[in-house]
Amino acid sequence: MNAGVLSVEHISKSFGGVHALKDVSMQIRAGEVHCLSGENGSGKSTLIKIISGYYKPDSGKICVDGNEYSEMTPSESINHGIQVIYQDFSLFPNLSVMENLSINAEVARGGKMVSYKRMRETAQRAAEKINLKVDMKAKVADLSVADKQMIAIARALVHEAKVIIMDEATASLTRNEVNCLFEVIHQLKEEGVAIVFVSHKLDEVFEISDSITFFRNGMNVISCKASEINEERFSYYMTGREIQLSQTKPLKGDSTRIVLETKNLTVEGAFEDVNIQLYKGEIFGIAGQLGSGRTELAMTLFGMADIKKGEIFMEGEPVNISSVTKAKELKIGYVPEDRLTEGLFLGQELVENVAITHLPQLSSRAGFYNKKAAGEETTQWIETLSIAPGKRDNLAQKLSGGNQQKVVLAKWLACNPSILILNGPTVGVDIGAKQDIYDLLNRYASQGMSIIIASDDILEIKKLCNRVAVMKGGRINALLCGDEVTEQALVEASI
Amino acid sequence: MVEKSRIDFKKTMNSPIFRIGILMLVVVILGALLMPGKFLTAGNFTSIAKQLSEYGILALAVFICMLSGGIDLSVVYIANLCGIIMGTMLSKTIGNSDFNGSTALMIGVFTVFVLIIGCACGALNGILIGKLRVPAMLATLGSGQLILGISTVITNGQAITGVPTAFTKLAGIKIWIFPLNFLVFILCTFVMYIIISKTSFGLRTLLIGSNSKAAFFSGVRNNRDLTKVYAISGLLAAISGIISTMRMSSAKPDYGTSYIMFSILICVFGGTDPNGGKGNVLGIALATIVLQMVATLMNMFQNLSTFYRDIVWGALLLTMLILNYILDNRHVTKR
Amino acid sequence: MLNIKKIFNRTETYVIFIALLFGIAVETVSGQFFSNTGMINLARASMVYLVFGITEMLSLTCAGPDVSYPALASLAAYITANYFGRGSYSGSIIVPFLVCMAIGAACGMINGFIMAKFNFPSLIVTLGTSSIFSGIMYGPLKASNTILHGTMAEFGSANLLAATNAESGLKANLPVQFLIVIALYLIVFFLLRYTLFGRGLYAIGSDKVAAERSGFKTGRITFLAYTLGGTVAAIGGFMYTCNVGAISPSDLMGGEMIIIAACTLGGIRPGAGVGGLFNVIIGVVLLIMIQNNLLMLGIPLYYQDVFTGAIILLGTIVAINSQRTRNGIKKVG
Repeated sequence: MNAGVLSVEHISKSFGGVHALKDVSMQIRAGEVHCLSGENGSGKSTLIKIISGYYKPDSGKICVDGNEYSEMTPSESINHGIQVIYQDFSLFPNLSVMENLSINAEVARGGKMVSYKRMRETAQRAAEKINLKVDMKAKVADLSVADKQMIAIARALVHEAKVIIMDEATASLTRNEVNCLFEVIHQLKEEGVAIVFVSHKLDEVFEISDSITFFRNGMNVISCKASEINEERFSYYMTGREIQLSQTKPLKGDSTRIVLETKNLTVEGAFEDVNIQLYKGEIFGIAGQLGSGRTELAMTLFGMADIKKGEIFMEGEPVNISSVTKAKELKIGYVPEDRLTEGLFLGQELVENVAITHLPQLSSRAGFYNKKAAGEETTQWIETLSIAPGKRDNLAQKLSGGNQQKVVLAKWLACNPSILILNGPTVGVDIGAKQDIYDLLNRYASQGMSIIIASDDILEIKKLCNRVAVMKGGRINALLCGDEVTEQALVEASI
Repeated sequence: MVEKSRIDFKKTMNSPIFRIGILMLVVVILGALLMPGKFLTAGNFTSIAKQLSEYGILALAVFICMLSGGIDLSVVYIANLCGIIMGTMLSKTIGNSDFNGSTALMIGVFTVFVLIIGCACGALNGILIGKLRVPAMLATLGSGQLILGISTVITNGQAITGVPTAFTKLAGIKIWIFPLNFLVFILCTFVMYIIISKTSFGLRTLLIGSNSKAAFFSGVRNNRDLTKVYAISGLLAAISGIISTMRMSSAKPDYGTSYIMFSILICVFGGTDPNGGKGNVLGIALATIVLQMVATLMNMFQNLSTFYRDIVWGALLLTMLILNYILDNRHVTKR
Repeated sequence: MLNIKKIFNRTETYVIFIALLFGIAVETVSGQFFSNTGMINLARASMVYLVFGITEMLSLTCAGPDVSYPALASLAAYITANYFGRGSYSGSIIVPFLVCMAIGAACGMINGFIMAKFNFPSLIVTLGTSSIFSGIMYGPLKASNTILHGTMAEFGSANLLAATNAESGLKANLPVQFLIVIALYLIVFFLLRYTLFGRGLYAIGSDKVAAERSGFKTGRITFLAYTLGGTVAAIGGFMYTCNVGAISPSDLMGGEMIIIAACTLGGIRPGAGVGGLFNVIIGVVLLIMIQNNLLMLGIPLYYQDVFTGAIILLGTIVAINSQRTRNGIKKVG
């Protein structure tokens, strides 16, 4: 009964001489929820890609139901009963919901023709499994992120899958929807389906997992029962070192100096009547779930929106932040949500990545760019923020998530902003680097910088912020201060 | 120290310039062997230098757009429009008068005027692409057609001929073995090198090509810079149009449409990433020269029609794309 | 339920509207647009473009523009006509037709192979192959203009419909070849809608990685798409050559701009997996209408390019900017 439905044996994979996976073996049993944990770049996503047939392993084998394979194609993997729910959903925005739900099944059937009748039935079945209520004819591009996520999940359930891999499948779901998903997972467990669960949300991992395998530097460190693990052990296995999770109290800032204030700020279709105040030297939190207006508010303060109504004041003076350029002139910096597509020039060296925000300072009056000065400055930031590997001519794409985030931070710190807005400051950043970034933010805030953090990570908000605006449905639902900032209060105000 | 120099050596080996340099050497040796006493002569060099300038400059125009993540398919039409305007204005004013102070002034004024027109056409492309968010390929395709149309309306669809000799004579100017239009090409290359490699505008262009979203979030005014990029492209096209009219003493709305493909070939050949964010002016200059050398060498075989060149260009473009791809990705073994 | 708002959000609606307006304008001036001959002339003029439109659409859907089809079509048609059209051949038209298709397919495979194997911009790849195709035609094959004889010429001049305008007495003929166009559209419609190949093509255009993860053999689909595109383009070249009754290898060159423009006008977005045959039809018909009727509106022929260019630009600007976000946050990129 408890036989391994899926196992990998001695899998190795390297890219250009860099080992992504080294001799990894693990076993997943039918009817268990198996969590893969590890920092970014630890190899868990490479393993998922090998299991799903996207990469070909250099050596080792994959066993499904007792049959051994040295490699698989994506469609073979599907046919062996492996389904993956990808972090980026892997949906087709230009196709209808119905087609998105059923196209994989059609491909897996292996025929040459498609039948719309069959596809409709498949889609209907999939939707019923998780009680999904969306218009089957709607194009996926027109749906909300949460709906897309649900469609991605529903699509994986169409097949009589033996193994379902969920790669950060809960990232854009509200707590209610996560609960709904967990119910589905329990049901699947009873049917004997194995679930491989990948998430950076610790509470979810502890809640749902039966066993956990930790990855570090391309090797699996340990596999164990979830019940044997607590939070400290968890971070120890993740990083290989004992992390001092600092318990310092959030900075209060100087409440007599209001650096930024909004009055009845309204942006059509995003949020309305937002009133917040930002003190000098504090870290202010904007909490709220996806679609609550959190991200939009952060972007608006960086000049990214057409303000319909309301005003913004800086140091008591009304300001018109109508463009990014204007925001920059007002000494506002912004670390975007999606580091890879919005923050970095992946194919360029660190120097350029840092220099871009303040080229005028690095150039002569005639516009000639002083590459030497830029290089020296970058080297300095590499030291200050302990970015590794610390060579300024490294390409940004070669860095780990945490170090990439530090590069994005460096480019704004180099502008010496008076207000720094961070949208999801540690998304996809591993535990070790997370702490580094928290320390950095605290250091700069204590030196007088005012920082705004927009995040859906409640633990992070609680750890850093003395005052938090919790958004819900485009409005500020609660303003929490000091001891009021508890996990429970944050959750309650956001749902 | 030893470690460092080895890395630098590896870097050089991998740079597109190094690859073209090798290729250039091969072509020169091949030419010297196959056509002894004909290929390696000053006269042949002058003729190579004379022919490559027009499309060399067009390639620079396409290059800066490609670097910014776009493309400019309208350069040839801008060049033709500028050539036509230049030719028409000169015929109407100077006529048959000899080269003297006043005609020189006229030529100077008209040149500036035509350059402004080229710039304006380019800037229009830039606005379409930046502000109006039309994909570069579609925008320049459309504007190319529009500009072709304007040229056709100006000339009633005919070719402009009989451009005043006071102007066309300038094409004969030579400094040592370098003809005037080659000097113009060298000057353009030099200025472009400075702009791309030494100014902050050049760096911004590169970074917009690398990731326009990240550039925007870093406070770069993408739209303004893109307008500048395409204006520069238009300006270069205008220069090319002027020297082409000067050399051939005629202009036509649809002259040299194959130069579009050839310019792109030069860019890719010179190591520019067709997706933007990577490229080098020096590579463009070298690629232009190498390709013209190949063309000249092929011309020396009398029984090969010029159309064989098209086959070679197409094959070279594809080979170079694939070769660059393989050399740059040889470490990555995806399936 | 019909959704009025949705209809007005579509590019197609605007294109049809503009086409109708233009038709009415021509009708008022000349009275010869909405007539039997007017319509037949429009169908006749659009015929070959409609065929090339299929090729372009296939490429635009899954990758980007294909600029090689004029050279490809000319090469295939030239080789075929050179062999069968010089007078001696009087057998069935089927044989040259199939030969032409085969040459087209072979050329399309070259495009397809490179596009499937590497992730290059289609514009640049097809520029390269285009140069090779035309180079082969003019270089080793020494193509030149010749009058067509025999079966091919007869096929080209056979009419399906002939009409005479009651008022003006003008005549118009619709060639038999129009049936080929209809057949091609039916076949490709079927392929796109009811086969995994067709759905895969849209999936690739939408998101290539996701398509791969879904189990689509993306390389094979891309290869097939370009092979099919090459075949269809060769048919277009064949039709054109027969219809003109002469081998004129340079005629089609440069036509890629018009077709790409027509497809974009019709609402197809390059490499986005958006659009279908209907978009090709409305785009092509609108452009051909404008090109053919400028004279009737009293606008000299050499203004044609200005109009085409302006329409391409205006069309794409409107189409792209009509899909703005609903909230006040600015779009980036």
